[in-house]
Amino acid sequence: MKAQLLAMAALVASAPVWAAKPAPKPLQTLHNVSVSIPQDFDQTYPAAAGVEALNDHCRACHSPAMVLVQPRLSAEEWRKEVRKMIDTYKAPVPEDQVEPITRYLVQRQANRR
Amino acid sequence: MSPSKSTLSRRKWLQGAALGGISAALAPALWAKGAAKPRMVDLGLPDKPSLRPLTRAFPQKGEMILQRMRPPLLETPMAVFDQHILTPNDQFYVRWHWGNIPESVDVDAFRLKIRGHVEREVEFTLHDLLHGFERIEVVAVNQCSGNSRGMFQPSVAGAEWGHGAMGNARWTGVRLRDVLARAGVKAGAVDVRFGGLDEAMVAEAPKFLKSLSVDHACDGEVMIAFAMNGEPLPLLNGFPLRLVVPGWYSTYWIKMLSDIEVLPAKDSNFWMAKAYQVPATPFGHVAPGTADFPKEPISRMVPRSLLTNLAEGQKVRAGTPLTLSGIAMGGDCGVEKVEISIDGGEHWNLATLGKDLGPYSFRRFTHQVNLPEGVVKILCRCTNTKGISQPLTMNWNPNGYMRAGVETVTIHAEKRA
Ligand code: HEC
Repeated sequence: MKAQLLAMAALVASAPVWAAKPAPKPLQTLHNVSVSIPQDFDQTYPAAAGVEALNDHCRACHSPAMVLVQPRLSAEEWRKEVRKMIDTYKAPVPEDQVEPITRYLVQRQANRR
Repeated sequence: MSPSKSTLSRRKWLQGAALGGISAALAPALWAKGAAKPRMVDLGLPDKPSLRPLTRAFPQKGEMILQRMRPPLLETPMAVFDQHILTPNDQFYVRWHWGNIPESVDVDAFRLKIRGHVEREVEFTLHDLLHGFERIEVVAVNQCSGNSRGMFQPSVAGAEWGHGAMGNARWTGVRLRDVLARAGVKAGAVDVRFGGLDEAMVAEAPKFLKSLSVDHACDGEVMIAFAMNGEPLPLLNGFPLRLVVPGWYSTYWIKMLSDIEVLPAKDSNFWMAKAYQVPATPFGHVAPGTADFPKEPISRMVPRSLLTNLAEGQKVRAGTPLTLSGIAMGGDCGVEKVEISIDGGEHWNLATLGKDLGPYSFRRFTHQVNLPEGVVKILCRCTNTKGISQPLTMNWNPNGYMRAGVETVTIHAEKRA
């Protein structure tokens, strides 16, 4: 215990370790990196009325899963989300698909528990 | 869908289709009926699906919580913070906005460009950056603005993270100030804007770009890092270069940094002017449900503390010594103290602080308790060296940013556990 306390005191007394100083074993070179990032373009939305609209328009930029774990939103809030995808993130969604998509999202959550 | 007919990335789509078999096997039961079930973790997220699969499918990454496969959102499991004060690179969380992420980097061909409101545009090779500047090092927490969003009550839309969208690393690199000096920042410069190699999925969509004021960019602390815990960065954490902005939320820590543009005016790009806005109040707090308030771009982090060795609902033994352990951060300065309450916030006791790795680092705290039998609410509260304490009432805002109120862990102390 005493040794521990002394060690702590020594730490406090010495120069702050975050001060600018060279790395312990300095990196001299970087090497080419090539990886494969997993994809899930094959994943679809759970079947229900209107699912085609989501499979067609809501899979290109992100996994369906992120849409499926959202908290319960009102129809108005879901419509706003869909509009955000179109207006801000430039999702190519035909205007006549906004309502079917919104309905699907609301209905799916209503069916959840 | 046939995205190849639209402007969406054909390459990514085709590649995804080719990998279909693999990803179907990785996908949790939640997403793919009939697929092999991966191990799931319950993040304890209120009022929304709370289970997430664990995955080892990502390159240069160990076991991570899969928040989203594409573009990757990988969360660090709480046990990692219990074991390490410096988060190992292979378990450091991952967060991308757009899925067009290069899968390879040619280190000889790579260039970092400095352009815009400068005396002369310059390009640096990685060799220039590794050998042509004074090196600096800092231990700093990188925390997503939306870390813990999934815990928000009332819930808000977005990436539904648990507490693991953060990590602490020793970053090595060069001062942004020194790099900018080679280009010569012109008088009248206002912002410095940073972009990486990643691109939006649709040409017209906003590329992910973030800016700092010129003064901040030249403060000598903001770093262009090429190493993380002494190693090159994992590609998904920004190889080969990442901006490090000590004390500021991760949204500014641009990954795969390749382009720096000095601007003669305030940056009005979407990611600065519209996204990542918080209420201009302490802890970005407004009363739940409020939508109308003065906003400002998110910036400095605030103090936080989390218990790492006890999980919500855990059973422990009553009447025997138990060591509580956790991590704390001051936000934009050091940790002054951490206090613990085992009676729901009535009484508080000082925890013992671990080694000080600098003001921007996590700090370990430990505290011995002897719990009475029953349901026990354990709280921890960090106060930073500026005297700012975590609020006892949880902070809230409609975008789910800056969660930093005192967290409560409810456990069951039993005679036999
Ligand atoms: C053109 C690309 C694109 C398409 C197509 C797209 N999204 Fe998004 N979506 C985004 C981006 C970018 C984000 C933010 C991602 C991030 O923060 O990582 C997002 C996020 C979300 C979120 C999380 C909440 C939020 O606002 O951040 C939901 C829910 C969502 N999208 C639903 C949808 C639905 C429903 C569709 C189909 C109408 C759709 N998306 C189609 C780009 C797209």
